Amino acid sequence: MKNEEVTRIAKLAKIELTDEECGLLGRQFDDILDYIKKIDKLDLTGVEPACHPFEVKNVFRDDEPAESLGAAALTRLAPRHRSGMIEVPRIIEK
Amino acid sequence: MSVYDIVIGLEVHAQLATRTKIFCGCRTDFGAEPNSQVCSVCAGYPGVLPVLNRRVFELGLKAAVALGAEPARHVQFDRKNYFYPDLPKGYQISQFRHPIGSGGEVEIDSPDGTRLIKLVRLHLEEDAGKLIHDASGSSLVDLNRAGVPLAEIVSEPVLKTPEEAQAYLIELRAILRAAGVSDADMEKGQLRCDANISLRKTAADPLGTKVEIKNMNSFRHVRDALAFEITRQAKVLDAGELIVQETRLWDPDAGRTASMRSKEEAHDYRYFPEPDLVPFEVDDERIRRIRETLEELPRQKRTRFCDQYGLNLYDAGVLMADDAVCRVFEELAGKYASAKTLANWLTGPVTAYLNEQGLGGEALGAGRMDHAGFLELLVLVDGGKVSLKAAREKIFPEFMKSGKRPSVILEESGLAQISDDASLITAVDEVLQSHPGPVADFRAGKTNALQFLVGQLMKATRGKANPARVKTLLEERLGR
Amino acid sequence: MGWISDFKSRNSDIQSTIDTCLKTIALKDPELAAFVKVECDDSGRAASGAIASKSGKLRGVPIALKDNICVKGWEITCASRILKGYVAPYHATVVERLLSEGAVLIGRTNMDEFAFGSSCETSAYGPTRNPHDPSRAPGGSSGGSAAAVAADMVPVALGSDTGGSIRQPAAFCGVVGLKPTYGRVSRFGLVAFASSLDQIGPLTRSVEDAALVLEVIAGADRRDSTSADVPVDVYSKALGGPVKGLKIGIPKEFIGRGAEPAVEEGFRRCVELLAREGAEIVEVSLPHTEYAVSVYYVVAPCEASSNLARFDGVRYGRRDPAPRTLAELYERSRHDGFGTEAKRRIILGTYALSSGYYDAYYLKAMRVRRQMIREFNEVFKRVDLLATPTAPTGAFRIGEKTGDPLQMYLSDIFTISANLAGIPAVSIPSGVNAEGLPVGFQLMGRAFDESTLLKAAYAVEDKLGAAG
Repeated sequence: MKNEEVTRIAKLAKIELTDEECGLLGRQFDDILDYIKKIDKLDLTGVEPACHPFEVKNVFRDDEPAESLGAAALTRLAPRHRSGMIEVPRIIEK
Repeated sequence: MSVYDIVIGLEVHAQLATRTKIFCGCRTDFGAEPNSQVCSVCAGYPGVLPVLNRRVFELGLKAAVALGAEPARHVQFDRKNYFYPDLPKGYQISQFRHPIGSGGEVEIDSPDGTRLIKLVRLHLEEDAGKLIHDASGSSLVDLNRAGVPLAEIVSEPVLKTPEEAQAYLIELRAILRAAGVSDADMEKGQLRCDANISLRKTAADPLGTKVEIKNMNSFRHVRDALAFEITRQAKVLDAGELIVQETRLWDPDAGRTASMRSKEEAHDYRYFPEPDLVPFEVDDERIRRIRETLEELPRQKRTRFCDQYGLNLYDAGVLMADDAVCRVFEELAGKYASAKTLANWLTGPVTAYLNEQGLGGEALGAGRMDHAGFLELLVLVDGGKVSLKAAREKIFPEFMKSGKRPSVILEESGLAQISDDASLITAVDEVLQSHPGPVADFRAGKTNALQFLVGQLMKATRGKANPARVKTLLEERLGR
Repeated sequence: MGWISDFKSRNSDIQSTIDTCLKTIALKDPELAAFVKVECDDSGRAASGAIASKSGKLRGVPIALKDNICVKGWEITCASRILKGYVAPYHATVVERLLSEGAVLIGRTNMDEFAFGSSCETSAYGPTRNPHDPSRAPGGSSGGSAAAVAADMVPVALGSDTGGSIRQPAAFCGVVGLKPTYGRVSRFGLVAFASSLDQIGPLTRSVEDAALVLEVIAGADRRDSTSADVPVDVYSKALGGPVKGLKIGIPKEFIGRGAEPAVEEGFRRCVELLAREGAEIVEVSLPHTEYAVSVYYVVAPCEASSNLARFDGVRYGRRDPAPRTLAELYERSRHDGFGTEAKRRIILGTYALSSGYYDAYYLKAMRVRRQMIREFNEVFKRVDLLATPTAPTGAFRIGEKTGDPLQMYLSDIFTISANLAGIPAVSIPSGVNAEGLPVGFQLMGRAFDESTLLKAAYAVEDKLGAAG
């Protein structure tokens, strides 16, 4: 897999990669994807995809309020926070 | 500026009327302190799992039915993957392949009659949190809204004018409210709207480049933003240039849309079925029950008001604008002869009084307002016992404040209108005697002299004479 | 008799039992590095809760937890730099259940980062070493839990199994490892790797201990939509029951795959023991086994890539110290925070889900998975259990396989199918290889029939022990 392709996917996954990492991953992916392509041999017409091993359906919870964590607990865990909210670098929208 | 064929589609997000979020038990109250309605689940902490709020599911199906959409028999959630600080898990649990409703329609009035605006689909999803951009160079994240249950309703791109767009939104909102699916209060962020708009030479041409418009916080904003966009795009096309496919934000203060400056790459959402949730099956029985228990929808109600009460479309519309007023109307209409008069009273003086006093529709409820007393007032006016003016301006407010019967208030106030001929004739004769000039003018053919005489009579009786009766008596006396 | 029954019947002193554990850990862990952190430093305080409670099926039992199971107040890192400083604000459901039965939680065990691995070598803390030979890996990803039990540091440890991560380290370390049926044990509080495959399970020194722990941690959980609303059996009661008449299937695709001689021998020995006890041995076929690894290495990385998107440095864990933009915050935090294998799996999964590839990879893999599930359902109409080796070899040397990820993935060949089909599976020690390392025997059972599974495993364990 070419470096550009690996870089493009890495950007989608929001992971920065060094050139070296890119090259290594690209080579390894080729091997892995080749192996995975075994499944192309199968005839799967009419076979429904299985998201779970068993057919469980209709699990709900009631619309009843439960305890919240509280802003203090939330901000305590945040790397940066201000005024009870989590802080990140400025996002330019306009 | 040339004329173009306008193509508008609207995407509406309505907050479902539940007490808690879609996948956890946090409350969804408006205006809470930042991050006070957040738990491990909606904050996306490691190891948490979503569980679907039953009421969200029910309201979603109800919305589908109310909008004439086909409710899905097999419902599934999908993950929509992207990164943003207000999206705790790095994905939004939404629906892609198996939405809760397909198709549907909203009927609106248009200059040529009515139009059926078709819907593409509606689906359930969780809301993201809120970002506040402050002056200091950072952005702040409040996750209170993360996980709030939303129904996303997508219209076909068939709206043709900003006015139609506004009418569609008003009707959609009315339907969602009538069905109890959403309170749809835009000021509380319970209803949001994004628009897609493109222009083309004629309806026969392929669709033009579409522009997405966001940040419209009221129905008026939607109308104004679209109107601005039409002008802007027409100018661009007239100059022979191309429309840039982009997202633009409406700036209500400047009255214009502006391009979003972010370098956003096209999103690849990598949708796949949400493995932490199971699929949901809906059987015919459940759909049948929903259809049966669905409340009357706005347009049905409006038609019924016209048929049942003989109101015209406009009056019916005005009456229906307020749920409480509408409810009182239906309660009292059976006990009073003229639906139109009742409607006029409720939408006129009664509403004005409520607004003035800063009261809500609950003030008209059977426990707060004496319904029989209210009707008594109307009957007094009908019988000429009090002038409409006095009833509206003096008796009614006193009645609302004190709770006393109008007949009692009338007696106490001495505002009783003089309607009996015996009392009036004396006054009439007096006025005729003291104003020979106008009498002669009238006999000579100057009809507005009559008005003058009526005025004099009203003055003489300190406004208490029944003006209609007075006019008739004068005419009789003057030999007409 | 298993450790737990023995402990309870002797009415052992809880305090001194814990002290013994801590002493063993202090003695052996500097070399083995099974623990990330011993949380139970003040043994008095930690045990007081257990001592105070008068009853409890696991009263006083010292238990270690893999570093991906949330305990409120503990730093939970999944052996990753990106979760440095994250202190869990809630208990996993299994933790609540253990505590309500009086268990004493000793600490967090080492693992492959985010459970991505079969050797415990991708941990940000460095590898755990196999107690039988410290130059060798303990297996993974629950390597720390397996080593801790094998080295007598604790009698019970919990791990998680997505493609064999409980069973394979159990085999490498010579202990019992159980992966319950998917949905048998709540996943709430287990940091997710692959949501449709993950299960929490016990690693113990005996089948009976595993059964007793399963009784406590199993059961429906309102906080986990995928947890099963199926009654929990008293699994320990099934042990010692007759194996006679049970039909045991040997899937031919699992035999002769180049497994080490000691692995095949151990396997045959266990099968013979069952036959001698009256079980009927049947040859069966699971043709789609060929594709198990391919399917797994699509489904698991796809789900993982999405599950790990929340590790972005924004709300918790490690954030890049000086990002100039939001993009830098994400990309740098994740570059520095994730190890190589984690990056590999996330990017592989992102690729397979990306526009244009969804149908070719994820959708197709889900269809093959459906075929595999059908195949297992068919086979279980004819047999009650399936018997296979757990892993093709005994423990390999640390560093031996890290250069070739595909080779590492292929060593999961025997364990992966059970996760894809959702069925329960257990590994018990079956012998020792030429290098003196343990090898394992695996039984797989029908969904939610852990009783039959454990009954058979118990019988083998019992007879093997008797054989000396």
